[in-house]
Amino acid sequence: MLFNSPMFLFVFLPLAYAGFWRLESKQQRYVWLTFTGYAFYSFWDARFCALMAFSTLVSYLAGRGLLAWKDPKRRKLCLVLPIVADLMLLGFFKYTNFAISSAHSIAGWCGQSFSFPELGIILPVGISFYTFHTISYIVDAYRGTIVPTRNFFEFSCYVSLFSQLVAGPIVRFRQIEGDLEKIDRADWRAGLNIGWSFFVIGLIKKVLIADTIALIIDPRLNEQVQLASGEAWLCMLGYTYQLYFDFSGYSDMAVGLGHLFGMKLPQNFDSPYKALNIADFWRRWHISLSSCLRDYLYIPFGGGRGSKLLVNRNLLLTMLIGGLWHGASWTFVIWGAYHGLLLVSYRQWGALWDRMPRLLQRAGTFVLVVVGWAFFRANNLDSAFHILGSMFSWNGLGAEAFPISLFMLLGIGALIIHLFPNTFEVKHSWGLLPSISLGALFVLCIIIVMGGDPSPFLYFQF
Amino acid sequence: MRALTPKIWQIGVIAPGILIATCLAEAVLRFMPAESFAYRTWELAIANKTPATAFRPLSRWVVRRAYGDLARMGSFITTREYHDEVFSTDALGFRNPPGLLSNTTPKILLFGTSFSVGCGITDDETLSAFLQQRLQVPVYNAAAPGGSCDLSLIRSVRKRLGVASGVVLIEVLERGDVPQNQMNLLASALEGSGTNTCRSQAGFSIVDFLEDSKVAMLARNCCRLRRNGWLLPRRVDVRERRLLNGDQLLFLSSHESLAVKPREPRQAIEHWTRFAEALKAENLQVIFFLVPEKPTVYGHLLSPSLNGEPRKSAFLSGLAKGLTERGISVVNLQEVFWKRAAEDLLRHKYLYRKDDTHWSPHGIQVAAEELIPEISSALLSGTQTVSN
Repeated sequence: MLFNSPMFLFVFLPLAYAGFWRLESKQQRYVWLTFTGYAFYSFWDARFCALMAFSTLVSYLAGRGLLAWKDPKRRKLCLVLPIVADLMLLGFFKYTNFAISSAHSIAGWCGQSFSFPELGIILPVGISFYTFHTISYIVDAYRGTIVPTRNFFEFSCYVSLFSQLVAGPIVRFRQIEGDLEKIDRADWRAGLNIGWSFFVIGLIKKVLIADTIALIIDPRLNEQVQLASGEAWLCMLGYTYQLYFDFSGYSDMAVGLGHLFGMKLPQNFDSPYKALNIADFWRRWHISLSSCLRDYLYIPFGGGRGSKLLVNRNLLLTMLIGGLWHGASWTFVIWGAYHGLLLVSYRQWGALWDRMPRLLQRAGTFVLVVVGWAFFRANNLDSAFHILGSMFSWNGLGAEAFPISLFMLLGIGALIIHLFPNTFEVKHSWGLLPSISLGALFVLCIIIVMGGDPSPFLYFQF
Repeated sequence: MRALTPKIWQIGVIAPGILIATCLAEAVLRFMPAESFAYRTWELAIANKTPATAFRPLSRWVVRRAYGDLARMGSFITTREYHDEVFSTDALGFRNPPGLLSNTTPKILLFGTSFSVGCGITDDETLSAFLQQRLQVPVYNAAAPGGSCDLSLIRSVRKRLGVASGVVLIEVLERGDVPQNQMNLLASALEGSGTNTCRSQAGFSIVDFLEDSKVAMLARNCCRLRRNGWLLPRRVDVRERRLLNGDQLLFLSSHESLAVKPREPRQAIEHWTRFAEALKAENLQVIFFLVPEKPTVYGHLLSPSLNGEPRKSAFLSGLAKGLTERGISVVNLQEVFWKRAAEDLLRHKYLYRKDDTHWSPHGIQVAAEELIPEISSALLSGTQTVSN
């Protein structure tokens, strides 16, 4: 189920909301949130609820083990077992097909035959997110950053919380532990305005901006034809804005829903296209993921300690894994490697970069990110190189292929992205006129949600 | 606590208020007839179909100022060709007058796609209605949307109607692939307890309820308007082309490619030969009629021309030749449509609706006139076989 579907807006959300506030005790609300999370997930495919339940149960039991045992060996076992279970789930469902097709390709290049059949495994929606939730819980519990909960439903509602279940943000247990603890004391009125404000703004970003841009650029990007240079830049610029409005819109909706249910979810985007350099970009883009990559990969690899070579290796390795986390495809691996190299370069020559005027730093970072999205967007490597080839060789403007609305949307998008404050920087205590304006835009969203085909969020595929 | 209570003009009240207002609007609009929101009867007929019936049995939809699917899909407003439509279904869910089967057994069964059903055509202008009027024998329209037909469907319809012998008319569309038993569900429903079975399989689905809502229909109409080619790309690639006489005609680009790149007919010949032989063994005489697509008929009459000089569809010609060689009755409408399209150009009269993929009442009339001699001789030979 999508947040931007009539089913969610008119059936699921009202029922989940009414049920939640009707129940009073902590335990009842935990159970209700777990139930709604599984119901939400089952709209995609009920069979895969079992996977989530398994991952939840294993991590919960490991948490209880960590709570009970002081013996380092047993504690290590409680750390390793659930992580291995989660990684095996993730590896099987997300990376098996990729491994087989890569083996086929490599064997083909070497002139060898490799006859392992494609398994046709379905990728369960959101598996990357909920396995990250459970892994982060166990690692934090092992490190002593959090005290594992004894309440199974508190943990299961944390994992299956529908607002963050299938596309994040990757909320760590410690970030909402406090809200979960006092969930029975939450007041429905406290989060009403801020919750709906976040939700409506997120829906506007997604439905009115991201999806509309996609309607214009997707046909060109999917045709696999040679794009004119101007067209390729416009498509990638459009995709850059689409991706931001899509994912930050989703995150805003998730945060809004969190407020409506008495929980404060963390910020996931902090005006990333205002970043002054690539390291700054990663502090602002998909913050919940990049902070997880930092805490659970980069630092355990050694982080910034050791020789330059080691630090660079850590950076590259972290970004490669980060790229692969996004999707089982070489395009994502290369995208990760590209950002890894940019981070390494900035680490080497950052002092030079920082001497440039701020406007130039910002523009330069933005262009580098736009170029990287070519790998992120392309269906395969050929397509990515086609797009990049068109971008970096002159073969005409081709802008006439696009309707005027694309330029209007890019203009509005540019204003919002580069100049306006982001949703966490505004107060959400709107006056009469802004409230009515938001309401009018919300009506437009409802019309499109009801009248158009619901468009899935780009990050659902991860 | 009072400070927490949201004020009426705040977004925390406005947004859920909009959702509640939408639900209320839906509740009110449920009392309005669906016809007020539809652009043609076909939209309602399709929306109300169950998996086990061609359409909802014993229904009647009336739409004033209906217009064509191409104008709709491509959000063309000025090219719309408005007309009134009535669409009625019988107890089995096919498009026939409800009283057709009351005291007679059909002599002719018609199977096919939306062309034979009469998409965009009012009840008394359909192919079956026209044939019945001219031949003065009962014609049963068993065409269903989407697919062509398979043997199980023909056998089920025949059994339900008690047809011992007769003529089976089968429409083969230029773009139509060899059917892959799509109608099995429909056939098994007919084999069962009839309309009750059909209805019981429909069930209640909240997803259907949401999708069929009047607010959703209104919203869809609004959303389509923005996909008009200059504000946003069209939803479907529909092209407006000018004829030699200056009139505008709409075409689906995927159908245009058929006129340029024809398909190989071998598989279809084999399939339909087996099909005809099986029905012949069951005392049914089969006549295939081959329907060309709009661009095949009008491609060479466009300015600029779509496919250069007039070029026959190799698929239809090959299929007609292959079936004729095997002694199977075929009426290829391509020739007559070509001739009539050119002749009617100066009279601004068209075989297909200008804003639709389907044929016009005039096109149906031309097709029926072409079919009548073949049907008459089949009926005659059928009578002789029975009397012998």
